[in-house]
Amino acid sequence: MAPRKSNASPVVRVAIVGGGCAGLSAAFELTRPQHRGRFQVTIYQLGWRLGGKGASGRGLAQRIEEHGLHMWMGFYENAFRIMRECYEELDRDPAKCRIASIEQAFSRQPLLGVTEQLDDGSWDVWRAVLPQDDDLPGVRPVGAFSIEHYLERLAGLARTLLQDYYGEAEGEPPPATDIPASIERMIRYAQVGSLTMTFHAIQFLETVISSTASKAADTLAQMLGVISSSALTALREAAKNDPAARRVWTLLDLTFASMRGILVDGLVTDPRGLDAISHYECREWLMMHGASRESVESGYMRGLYDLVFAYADGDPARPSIDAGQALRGVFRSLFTYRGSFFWRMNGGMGDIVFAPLYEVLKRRGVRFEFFHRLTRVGLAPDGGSPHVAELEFDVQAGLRTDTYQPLIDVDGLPCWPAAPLRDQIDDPHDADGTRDYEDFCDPRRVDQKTLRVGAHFDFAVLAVGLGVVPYVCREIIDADARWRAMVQRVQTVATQAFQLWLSADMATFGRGDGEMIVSGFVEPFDTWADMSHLIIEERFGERVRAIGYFCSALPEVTVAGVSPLAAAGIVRANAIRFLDEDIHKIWQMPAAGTGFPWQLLAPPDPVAAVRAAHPFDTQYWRANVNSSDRYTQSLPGSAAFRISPLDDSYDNFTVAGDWTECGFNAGCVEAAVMSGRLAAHALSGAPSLDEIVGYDHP
Amino acid sequence: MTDEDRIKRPRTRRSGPARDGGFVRSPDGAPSAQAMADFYRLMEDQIREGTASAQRASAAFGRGGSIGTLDGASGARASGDSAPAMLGTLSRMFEMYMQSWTTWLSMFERFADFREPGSGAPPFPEPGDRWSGQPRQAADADPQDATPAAPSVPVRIELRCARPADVLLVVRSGLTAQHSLHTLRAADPNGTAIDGVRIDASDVPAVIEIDVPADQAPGIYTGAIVDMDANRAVGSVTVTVSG
Repeated sequence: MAPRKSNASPVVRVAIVGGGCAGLSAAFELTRPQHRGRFQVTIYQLGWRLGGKGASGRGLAQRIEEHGLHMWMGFYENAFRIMRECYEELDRDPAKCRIASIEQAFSRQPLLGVTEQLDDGSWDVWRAVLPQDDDLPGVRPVGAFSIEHYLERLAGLARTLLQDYYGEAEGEPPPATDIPASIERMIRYAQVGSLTMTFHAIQFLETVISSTASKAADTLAQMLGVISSSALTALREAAKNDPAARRVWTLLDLTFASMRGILVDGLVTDPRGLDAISHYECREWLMMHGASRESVESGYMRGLYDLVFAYADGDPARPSIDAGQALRGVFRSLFTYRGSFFWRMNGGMGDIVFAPLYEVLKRRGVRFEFFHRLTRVGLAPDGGSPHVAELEFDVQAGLRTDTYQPLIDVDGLPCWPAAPLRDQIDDPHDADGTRDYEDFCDPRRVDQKTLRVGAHFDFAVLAVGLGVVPYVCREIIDADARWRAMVQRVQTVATQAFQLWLSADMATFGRGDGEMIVSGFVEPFDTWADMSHLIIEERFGERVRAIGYFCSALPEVTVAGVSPLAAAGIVRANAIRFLDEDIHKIWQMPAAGTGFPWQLLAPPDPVAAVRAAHPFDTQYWRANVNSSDRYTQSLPGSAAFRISPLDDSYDNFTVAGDWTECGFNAGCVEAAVMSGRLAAHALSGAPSLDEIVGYDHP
Repeated sequence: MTDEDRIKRPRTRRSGPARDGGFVRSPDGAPSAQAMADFYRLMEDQIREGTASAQRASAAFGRGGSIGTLDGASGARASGDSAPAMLGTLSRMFEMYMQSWTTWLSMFERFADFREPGSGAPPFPEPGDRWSGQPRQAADADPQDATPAAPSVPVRIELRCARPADVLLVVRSGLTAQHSLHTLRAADPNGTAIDGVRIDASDVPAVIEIDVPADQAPGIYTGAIVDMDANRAVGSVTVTVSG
């Protein structure tokens, strides 16, 4: 960064360290035209590509290689807003670029599945199609959020569940001569008679909730107890031999427990909102309020935990998530989504999100310094206002050109490559061309760089992954008890993922029932998604008919002290074993009893097929164990220790990332974007806090 | 570079999100009359649903009378060759249904504290006196209140209970020999019921006898009063056993 010229206009130089969603969002906000160029932003990035945990690259056959499964959710108001504005500003020519608008970049994904192990030990995938509509996230303003509104929605959900079940129970009457069937039907009438009363009562409860002062909370809770007892008892009787009834019962059990808990714990009027229960583990809190163990261990709950890797130390036997944030996440995702519950990207996340952001920011004058590994955030010596005085970097590779041009062209679409463009860099440590520049713990460098406040930067934004913070913020951690607590209590978890390219379509595996995301399955890969819509983006030709992504948490005990390369070997072994032993439970194998059909895996090219020691070796897998790649968790009691981007303990420094206190304290794109916007507000006053959708939320 | 020379970020007015969502309250914080009217409508709906369910049951069997024993098999989905089990299940489902809506009536009494004055909603049916069985003396009518007084029901309640207990009787008409009081059950079907109950309508007033075992768990126990000829619920008895 150039030193400030004297008598120049007061341009504020901002060093943003980390080019993930948070850092790029902060840059996007700070370089809006309304600031009239006041903020001169430079982004420092480890390795060759932007994206952080969301980075992706194009490998052989232009196949998309991701960190894991990335789906956007319909409540990501902030993230969609930025992407919408980005694509509008980018103004790509649709005649030249097949993804020129946000409508082409994202598509609705309404189909999701939850796996369930049945009484006979077999597995079933329960498909749910959540309602879609023409609405779009990130477009029109969102009203205020309230727990009262969520209570009404929960009551409505309960009523819908019962109504659907009642509707199923009606069916066609049996022939008059079929006496046993007639008696069965009569019994069901009696059952649904109870249920009829129940959902009428819920309708009443919805009315009362919307019109009654908070002092009625105890009475409401008791009413709820009566309703739920009646409904659940009736359904439990029916559920013994009826999977559909069991599912309804489970959902109702969880719904009623949530409602009861909200009322009994006084969350509607507690000034802390849902944070009042953030010290509870979610399943524990639900059971406190009447949910059965069966329900909290159901596929629904497991699916929720799987999607956010909510396992302490990655241990599947230790599910753990902050109850308040869990409820917040369920409420936002279920009751405030727009258009679709999930939105899938029609390319890799790098192609859809980070390349457009990179291009727009470049146009706005943002500078990018790739191959910069942050090593130290240096505080100013004592005396004076606390601030960050230095930023130290290891330069991982030199450049053969003035600037590194990071993108490649894939038939008109700017994309990130899966490896650095080595013709542009000069690195004596990379003679064999295999160096992993995203390994934060690799200390090799070609140069060192120190940025000093006043000379090179005015403000600094720490937008790295939480896993990096303990290494680079030693001085802040030593000086500040809150930071010590933060790095101890806000945890991350390693994750594992693999991708398959198959020469047979999903119908071959009995899963031709539509592209879906399925969670709640067995470890070590509890979540998989049919990503076959990406075939058109890749260059396999007719050789690939289906694509599957798999991911889960990676137990700490298996990778502690292990190098990234060794960890990748562990994931490889996990994947092969999973495909051999488990996938057949939810995928039908083409030839029963013969194991996984390895011959159906499509290699990216013939050379890869020849070199492979095992057919799986032609596919893609990764262990996300790098410090900057670890997933941020929301463990019980941890939210209180997050640092907010608004914290101004250091007068020229702020933080950004899904690990910060950003209003939605979970590991996701939306949290990172919210945090980036908050960081921009902290430095510039814009955007205003009420423009950050969901920041003020119970 | 001195502190004065450095550019500093602006001070933020807040350091965290506002979590206080809260209720959206009406201007005076009072419950609306609509909620109360909805509750009355709910009660009427439930009575109709209960009647319809019982009629379907009696029509299926082709006769009136009792829908079955109170201690029939519970829970299991009946098979075609176990009619008694099916009847038992059916009667149990009906019991649950009845005890649910009658428990609502007891809840409603507590909820009445929040009734908005002058809402115009119809009055509650007035129960008999809780201890002596003497009907409550009708209050002097409020000149502003145009709603009719509830009918008096000659009933005596004989409660035998070692601990303090409260009895709520709700009945739409006088009790006769065709009326039967079902076992009083708690909301939790796994709890111990009070089955020492009967209606003796051989004399006037009719007597409702309730024997609460000494070791009965504290709680709320409700049972339906059923017209055995019409196979229709006509009221309920709720006993609240104190701890």
